[in-house]
Amino acid sequence: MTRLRAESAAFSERLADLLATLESAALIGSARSRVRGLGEQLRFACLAIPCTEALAALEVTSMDRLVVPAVATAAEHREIDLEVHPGGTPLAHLLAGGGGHAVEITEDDEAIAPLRPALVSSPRGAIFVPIRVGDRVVGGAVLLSDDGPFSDSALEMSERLGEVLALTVESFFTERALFELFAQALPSLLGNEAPTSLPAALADHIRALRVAPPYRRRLELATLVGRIAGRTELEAELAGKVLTAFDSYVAALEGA
Amino acid sequence: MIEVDPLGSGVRVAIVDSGVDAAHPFFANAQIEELCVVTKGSSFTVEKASTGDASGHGTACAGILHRLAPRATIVSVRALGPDGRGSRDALVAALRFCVREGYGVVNLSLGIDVPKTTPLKPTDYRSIIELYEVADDAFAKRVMLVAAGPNVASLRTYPGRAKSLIGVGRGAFADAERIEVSLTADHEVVAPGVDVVAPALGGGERKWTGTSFACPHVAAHVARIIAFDSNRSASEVRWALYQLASSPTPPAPAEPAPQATPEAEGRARSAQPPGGER
Repeated sequence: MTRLRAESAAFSERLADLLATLESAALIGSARSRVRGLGEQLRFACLAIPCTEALAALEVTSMDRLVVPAVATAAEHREIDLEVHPGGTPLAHLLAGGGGHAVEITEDDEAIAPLRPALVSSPRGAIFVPIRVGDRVVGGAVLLSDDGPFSDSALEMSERLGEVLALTVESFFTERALFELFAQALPSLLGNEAPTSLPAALADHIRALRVAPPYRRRLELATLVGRIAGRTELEAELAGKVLTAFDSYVAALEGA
Repeated sequence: MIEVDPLGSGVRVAIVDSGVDAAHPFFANAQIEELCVVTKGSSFTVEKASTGDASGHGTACAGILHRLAPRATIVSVRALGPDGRGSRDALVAALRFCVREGYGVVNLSLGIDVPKTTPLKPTDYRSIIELYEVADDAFAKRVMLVAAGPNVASLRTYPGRAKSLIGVGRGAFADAERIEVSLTADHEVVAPGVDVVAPALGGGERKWTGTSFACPHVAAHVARIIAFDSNRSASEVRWALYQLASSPTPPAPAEPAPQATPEAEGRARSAQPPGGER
């Protein structure tokens, strides 16, 4: 029994590390997939509206900064990480609760100055529409045209685009919040001094998760193992066997 | 034909928005008062402050108003916090202030947009009821509240859809004077809101599209109506607006806006009823 208890302690550390790795990887992988989804939606907007470029600026971490995670053309989308200050731009109006609107853009226009590092075009027209999550505006979508001001119907389509983007962004925000909560809980889960293979394991698992979609099954399995390990020593022994099988499962996936 | 003062002389028109760039050359001859919503603990006050414009939106709206009613006094009520964020409570506070002050017209190119497919939440109900109450209060006190409707039919915009105020939709009208009555759940009057040329931050002008920019057109018409007869009730003002809308050739401004000639100023004065500013 003593031997089992000692093994169980090591096992608990290993299990916690693995659970942390899996959950983090799942959340990060999911968030990245949301950014890809956002980029694809913006790309679709470029084709459908049509427009030269489209991007989303989101309030992610700071009240006075927006982050542009993706920008798209009709041909592709690019994942970027540009921080912009909305002051003096129509984005500020959106954050203030204002509605969407279309504006003419002049050369070196201050209205889009903070966004220029993300752009490859020289727009002459722009549409700004809010992205709302619940009763809160969390950013805006910006559509840009090289051909001058947008048409009236383009503004209507863009408002609808804002609603669609909001669904993706809401999921993105929820997952990010979960990940941040998890990150906060990690030290107490592992112990402050506990060695962890988390960073290296994260990189491996993110790759695996992006290739293989069944990460939901992995999470379910990890949760089950966690529940069992929280009980008696005999259950911990059983969990050890499950964990071995689990490691084999992950190894098989990574090797696939 | 309904009689109006085409310059909107003496009427105080509040623009509840992102502020106004009063230094813009377009406003060289304009009378502008600048106010700002300020947070005081959990409540709000409105104070004098030259904060400029946070986004350019308010400047565009004020410019449209000034072009059509160049002798109206613009009262910019910046409904934003110091961080540039707006809030529903700040918006309600700004509107309550405008009603309490008894401005002749309040232009609201802001509002709460809720997708029609989305059920309202308890917090939505609270804000919406407050906005309806303010709109009713404005109606009773003869403060003409003019508010933008949604850009797209899939949205509900509050308070723009309230019927105790004048809700505005947008049309692709080349004639800046043209307005049409179009009573829907979302709005009541349609005005030019596509490719409207108006001032922009930085000193120039640009084309703007959206109901936000249709709204000040109607606010200007209302200011002209009130400027001619400040004793009209809210219902009478609305009736007069309908008459203008149904006119085949609405009256043009008596002068090239925004500068006022002495002759036009004289005409405007003679048309102004006793009672001074509202």
